[in-house]
Amino acid sequence: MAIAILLGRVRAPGRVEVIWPMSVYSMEGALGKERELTPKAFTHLLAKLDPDPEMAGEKYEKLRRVLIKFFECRGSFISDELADETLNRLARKIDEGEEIEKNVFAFSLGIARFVLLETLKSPDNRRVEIKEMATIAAVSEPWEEDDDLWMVCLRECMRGVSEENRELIIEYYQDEGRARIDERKMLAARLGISLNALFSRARRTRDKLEECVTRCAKRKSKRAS
Amino acid sequence: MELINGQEDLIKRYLLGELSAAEQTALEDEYFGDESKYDRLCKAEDELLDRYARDYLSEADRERFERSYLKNPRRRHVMFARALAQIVDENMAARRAAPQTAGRERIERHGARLSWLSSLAHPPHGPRFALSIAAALLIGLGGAWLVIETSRLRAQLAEALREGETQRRLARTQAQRVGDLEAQYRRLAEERERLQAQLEAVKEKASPTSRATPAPVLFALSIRALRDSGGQEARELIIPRDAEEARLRINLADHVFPSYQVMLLTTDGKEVFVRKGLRPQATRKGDVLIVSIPARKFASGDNVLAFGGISAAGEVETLGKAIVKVRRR
Repeated sequence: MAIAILLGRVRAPGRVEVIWPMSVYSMEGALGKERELTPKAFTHLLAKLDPDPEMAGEKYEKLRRVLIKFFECRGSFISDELADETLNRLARKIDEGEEIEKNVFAFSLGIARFVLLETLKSPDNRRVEIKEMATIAAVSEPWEEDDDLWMVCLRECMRGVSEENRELIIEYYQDEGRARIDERKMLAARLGISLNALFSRARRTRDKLEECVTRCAKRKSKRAS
Repeated sequence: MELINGQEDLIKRYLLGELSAAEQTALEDEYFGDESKYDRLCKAEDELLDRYARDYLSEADRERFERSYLKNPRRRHVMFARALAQIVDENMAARRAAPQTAGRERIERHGARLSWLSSLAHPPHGPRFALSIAAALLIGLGGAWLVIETSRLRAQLAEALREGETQRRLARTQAQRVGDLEAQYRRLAEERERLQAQLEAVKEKASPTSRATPAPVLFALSIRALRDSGGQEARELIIPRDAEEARLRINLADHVFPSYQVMLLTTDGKEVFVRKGLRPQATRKGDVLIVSIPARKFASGDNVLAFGGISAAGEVETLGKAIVKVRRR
């Protein structure tokens, strides 16, 4: 697990790359960042997620993705940051010995809602209702709209994934409707895994690719300008 | 199935931001609070993104999707989905074009078929077994035919879908080009109008110089002629109809007054025009007085021109008169 963290496989809170513009919501001042997360608290969080360190790392990543998705669906432009703040608070609570009666994901969701509310209530931020958040147009940067750039980057990032995962993602997303369902069943059978496990694998590869492509598009656009 | 569809519809509405606050919270509790259910939400979103990227959404769904996703931080997922759909399509097209590289699946199937055939090579004996082998062969052949036919139809369908997609993309590109060209045409037309207006303004400005300003009618008299005629002998002056002024040039034999005056009178002595304070200009031929008289001041027929010198005390001394017979043409 420690090696995984060192190699960057597990993104501990605080090691965050902010993708969306900070100008819309600034988290500084918006959230009462009480104190930094200690390694001990982080270890306790991982242990709470799963006794097996390897599984704990995976669950941590998944929880982070869940939280990012939650904040995205609520229209936040700094989903990564809010997810990390949620994880920080979760780790602190566990470290302080707070009992978690329901599962960690459900408990985190409760914290995430508080974090979101705090962000909205902060005087530093625009006062908008949650409903309105989704309708606020993001300030679009040129690289976000450049189809060609995304294509170039996706080709580049595809070269970075293993042959097996490249095959998997191509086959997973091919065809449409009934044919697609059949293809997926065949693919799962061939790999000897369930459809749900197949989806998880495809989704993980897709998420990694999307992160890679987003970083690449941003980097290339910066270099061009 | 209905329940699943109902749930999928609910997830879709959540992703499109169409649930009430209570429904939203309930759905979040269910799908974000349970990691096993979270995948279902992701799957629904993947499908939604993919269908949008491939232009498979209905017009209404497309509008709902764009309203929700394109004004949202999730826009990057849309961009990624588009790129991914294109890469997947390209790869699949390339694979279909090169059937020999159709992948492991076929090799594995082939391998499986080989092992089955090798077991056929060493069959146990007996009529029942032969019968079952024949039946299996028939079923196998029928199945193989079905598989081949299904793959052929599937390939055709995929080809048709791809063709349709290409056509749609082409149509969109062309519509965009037509739009661009129309916009360009409008811009050029506006530019042309603007330039036309500028040109006309320039022409208008330039017209006083370019338009042939009627040249003044020159009318020269010498002081002697004025003195000698005594206003009796008429001198003819032809004024063109468009002439605006008659320029009178009087040659002075000697220049003794500080200034001079010229008067235009009717034959019955009524003053029509007077110009005082005229000072002579020195030329090689002597001193001359030049005075412009508006052409309209001259009556057709006889007019009287009176010329006088103005002393330093301001007294006017008549130096001569001349009758000018004006004809207009």
